[in-house]
Amino acid sequence: MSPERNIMKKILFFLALILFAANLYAADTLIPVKVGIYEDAPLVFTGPDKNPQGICVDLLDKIAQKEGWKIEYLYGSWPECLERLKSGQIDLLVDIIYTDERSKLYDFTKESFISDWGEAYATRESGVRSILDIKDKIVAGVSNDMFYLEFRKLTKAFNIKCKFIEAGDYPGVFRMLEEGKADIGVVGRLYGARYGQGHGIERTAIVFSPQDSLVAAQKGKNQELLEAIDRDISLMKEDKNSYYYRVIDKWLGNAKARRFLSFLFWFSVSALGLLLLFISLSVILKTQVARRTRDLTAAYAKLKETQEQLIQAAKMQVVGGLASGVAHEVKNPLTIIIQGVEYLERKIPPDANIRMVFGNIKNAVGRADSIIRGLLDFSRVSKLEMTHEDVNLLCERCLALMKHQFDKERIRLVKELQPGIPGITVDKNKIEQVVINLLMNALQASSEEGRIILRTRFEEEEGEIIIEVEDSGSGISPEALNKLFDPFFTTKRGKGGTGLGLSVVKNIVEMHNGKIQIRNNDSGKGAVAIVTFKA
Amino acid sequence: MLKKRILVIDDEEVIGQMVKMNLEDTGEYAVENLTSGLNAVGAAVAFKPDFILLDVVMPDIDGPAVYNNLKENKDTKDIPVVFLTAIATDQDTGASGGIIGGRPILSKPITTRKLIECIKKYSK
Repeated sequence: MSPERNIMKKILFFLALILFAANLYAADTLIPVKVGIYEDAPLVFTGPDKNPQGICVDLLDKIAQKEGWKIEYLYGSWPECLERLKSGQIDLLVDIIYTDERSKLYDFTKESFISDWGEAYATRESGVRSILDIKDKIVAGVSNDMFYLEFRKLTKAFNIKCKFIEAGDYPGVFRMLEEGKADIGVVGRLYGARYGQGHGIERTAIVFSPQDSLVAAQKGKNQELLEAIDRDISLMKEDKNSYYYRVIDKWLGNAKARRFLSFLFWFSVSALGLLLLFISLSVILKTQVARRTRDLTAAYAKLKETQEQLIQAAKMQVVGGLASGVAHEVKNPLTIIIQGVEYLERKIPPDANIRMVFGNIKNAVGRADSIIRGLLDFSRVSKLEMTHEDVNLLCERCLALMKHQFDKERIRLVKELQPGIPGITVDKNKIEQVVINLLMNALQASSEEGRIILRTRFEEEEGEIIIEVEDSGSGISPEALNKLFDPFFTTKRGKGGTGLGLSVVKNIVEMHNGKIQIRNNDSGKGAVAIVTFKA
Repeated sequence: MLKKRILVIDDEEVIGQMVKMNLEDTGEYAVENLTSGLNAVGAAVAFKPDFILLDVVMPDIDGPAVYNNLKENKDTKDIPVVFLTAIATDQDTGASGGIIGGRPILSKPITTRKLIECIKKYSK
């Protein structure tokens, strides 16, 4: 240990020693005062731990602190206290009322601690409400208690006969009422206000003998104590914010107000609790409502999607049924026509016009057959042959197939293929069919010298591979936009359009769990088809 | 050279006629037509065809039932039969006929060239 820490420890030890000695000295210099107390709450009483409490105790302790007294409380019944004061076993007795008779034995303070008066309490069964009801009743009181004595005088004055029994203190009086040994109990109003309710006991209208609660000393002795008490109580009473009023407020102080404040406090706590509960419930409900709304929105979107799929499936079913019937009814005549033309081609001498007519008939049969084929393709759910493909290469193949057509129509083709797009697992032939179909549509929508952009890109954040075909045509009318994917819907009815192309395209894209959208360009010129697949 | 005997079973009489005219015109085929499959086995036993072209959708008895009857008869069970149908497409069957559900199928409308390719492919 370092020398500095040793020195510090020694200094602390000496300081503690000095404080201890000072305390001992102070204790030795205090004036010992023995004070008699009994049971008269809230003026004076003992709590569950047997410690003296109450208005008189608090005030006397305060005065003792100021005057340098060391108070020792001696507990006893009221008669014991009077006897102890008389015999000089105690120096002071608190909470005593002045009478001429007592003044022969004791000296009293002039300043009262508080004013008190007598009140009668009765059992509910006794039916006592006023002084007139107490005839022949049993009245309990504390022997030599001023209020008890005054009550006896009162009954005598009214010439009311009743039986009196005595208890050692006020709690004893109430016990007698509770046990049915007495009908009426006489106590001080302060004690009654505190303990007189319940247990089958009720307050009556009998109120009498207002008195001051004083402090008494043995006759001719301890005058300096009484004077000090008078002086200090008087000073404290002058100041409305003094300790005196705080003590009064503490014990009685406005017991109603205190009860109200207590009620207000608990009411506030309860209200706050309820408010917090309400807020918590609100937050929980709000969260639940938000979650349910999200769920419902998602469910609604799913429902809508399912509904659309069902409608589409219903359309497909109709088209499927129609396709088989039409195929059978149309393909037989087509077979006859094609077979007939082939026969005639051999039998009729070659002639340019005849060859042209036969050629036209064959082309017409081919077109009719392609419509039927489209119908059958549309209605059939083909098995996909999935392979891992490079989207850009796939698009390049489609462009190679279409190049001649683009050149012929003098349409400029722009490739915007993003390099490094991840591979995708698809049915190569079907997706090529999609791209070619979209390019064909774009071609038909474009005027001469127009341009078509084939674009691919990868949206890394969404993990989506996108193929776009954009034309510079006149765009799509709002009415047509809603029907683009409907079977048999076409804007090229007289120009060989079957109205099945985009329906088949959508079918194929959805078979790959992809999405297709066609909309007009933001620039207001032309349209764009956007096909999205998950990478 | 012996001509290959072809039996065409199709309820559409004109189709049979046309096929007969075109095939026989080549000088390589002898064609007989049936407009119902009900007597297909008897006709096949009598005619002893090298190849049967059988329509699928017919009113009296459909093509698959006729096919089964032919395959159940010892005299006709080995005769190659190709279905001719309007329901399948070239994409399904391939240009010169293909196999769907284990059976060779040719889709309408059929050109003579395609038909001859198919006969050569499947006939005995």
